[in-house]
Amino acid sequence: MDSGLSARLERLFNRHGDGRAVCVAADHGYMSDVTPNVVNLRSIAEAVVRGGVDGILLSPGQAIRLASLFRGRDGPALIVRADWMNMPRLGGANVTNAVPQRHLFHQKVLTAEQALKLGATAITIYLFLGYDDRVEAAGIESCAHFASECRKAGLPCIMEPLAVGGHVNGTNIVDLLTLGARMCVELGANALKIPYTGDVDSFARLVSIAQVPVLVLGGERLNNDRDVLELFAEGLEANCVGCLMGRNVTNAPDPEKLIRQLGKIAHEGYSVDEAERGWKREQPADRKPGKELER
Amino acid sequence: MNSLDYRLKELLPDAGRRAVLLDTSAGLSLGALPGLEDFSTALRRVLPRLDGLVCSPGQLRRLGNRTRADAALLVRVDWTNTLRGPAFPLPPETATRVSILEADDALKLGASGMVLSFLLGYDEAVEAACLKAAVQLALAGKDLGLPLLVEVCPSGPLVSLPGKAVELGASFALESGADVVVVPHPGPDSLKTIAAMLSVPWLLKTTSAENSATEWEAALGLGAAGLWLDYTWLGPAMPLAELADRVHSTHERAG
Repeated sequence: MDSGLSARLERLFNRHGDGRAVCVAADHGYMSDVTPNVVNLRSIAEAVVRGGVDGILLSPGQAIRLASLFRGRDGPALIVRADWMNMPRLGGANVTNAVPQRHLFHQKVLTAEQALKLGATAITIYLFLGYDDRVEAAGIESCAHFASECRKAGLPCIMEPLAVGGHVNGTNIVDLLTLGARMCVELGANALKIPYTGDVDSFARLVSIAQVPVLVLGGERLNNDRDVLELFAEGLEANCVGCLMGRNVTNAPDPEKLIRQLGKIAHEGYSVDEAERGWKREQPADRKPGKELER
Repeated sequence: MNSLDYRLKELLPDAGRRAVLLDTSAGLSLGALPGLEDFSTALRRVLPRLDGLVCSPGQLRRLGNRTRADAALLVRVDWTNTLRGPAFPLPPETATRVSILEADDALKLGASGMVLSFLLGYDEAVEAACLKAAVQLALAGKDLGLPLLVEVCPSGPLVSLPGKAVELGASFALESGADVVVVPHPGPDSLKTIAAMLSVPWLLKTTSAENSATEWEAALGLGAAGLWLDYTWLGPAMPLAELADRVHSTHERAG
């Protein structure tokens, strides 16, 4: 494996020697309407760093502005959003939608080399399935270009398959996500960021088919922090290697505390109850080893 | 101080004085602006009173013999037909924007900064093109030491919540890497949100001459780095001499 790619994968996924990572997506101001987590980005980013987060996903502009948070060997990995889309603003039903969008638009914005110059340890890009043939084909082309650029630059490429649009329904969404996961891997993804499918068995099947490290995302903010911890614990049970959660962390009442709890579950083998309690009765046999990093 | 900060200082004076920038680049789309038919002569009187003057690439080349007391020059790097109304001799059939200048061209012209419009509320492809251009210019500007000013323009028909649309545009500008953000007055609540969100200097574009005093006061109270005067300030209703006086009084009030 290319040494740059190997070093960056290690930095992202093996900070604790267990092949796992707890990451936060904080790129919402790049694509969604302005919400408190967008307005207060710096303080939230500082809080999750204090909580021990392993990686933070940012837009290019915020990657420049918040560069100081990533310095040093204790600093988290910088993950840069290399594409852009308008999906959160589709339709006019949402009363907070300031500029409703009529069609899904998705485009490549950065090159892998530009992301490297920003100090990225990895980039993320979307692949949309279920909207229409044109969007899917454009996404495939974009992902293929990114994968090629990333391979040349030695930069891990995290792809994010999403099932969105009129061809998606309650019965096929898990199949579409599983399909998307494998398509991304076939295109050259080094890791995946993917929504939880709702149960351990179907998610375990997706992870098994993916064959690269999978980070679970949370989607819309869940009712409370315990639901977030349970989702994450189920993801780990299904053999994902960590999380890349956005609003569930950035809109949490105490993002630092939540990151610390997620870290206890990922890196120290805590159960959800133990993470909430903040301490664990020592039972070394309980410790579930992290999945060895796929290369 | 790096070269980007050095150039920013040319536009944005030290604390204690707020900047006033005049945008004359609308001639790219509208032709000769009222009062600016003889561009360089007309602007000569007002130039020392401004902190920044935004020009088209062609007019920037014609503004010679500047002294250190004159405003810094910024160059418009994009073109749009969205400034034209239905009564314009060549009314727009579809909203269009194109890039007309790269960052290294702007540097070679001697500009102290680049100005880009971020159009919201038009076709999805227009907004996407603005975002991509903003990111690419911001990155190129960081390499060259040339600041990028992004002007939020939520003027399209798809805008449903004007104040929130300004917030959205300001957020997009920031996340794209803008060094300065120019926002139209979005109403008091959204202005507070924008002031809290923006971690870079921002300039206010007032809604009208009549509302300017109250909107300026509110913006300066929230930490605006200065004021942005667009082409609507030019012409018979606001001759350049009077404009210069207003700029002067604004400096004094903010100082």
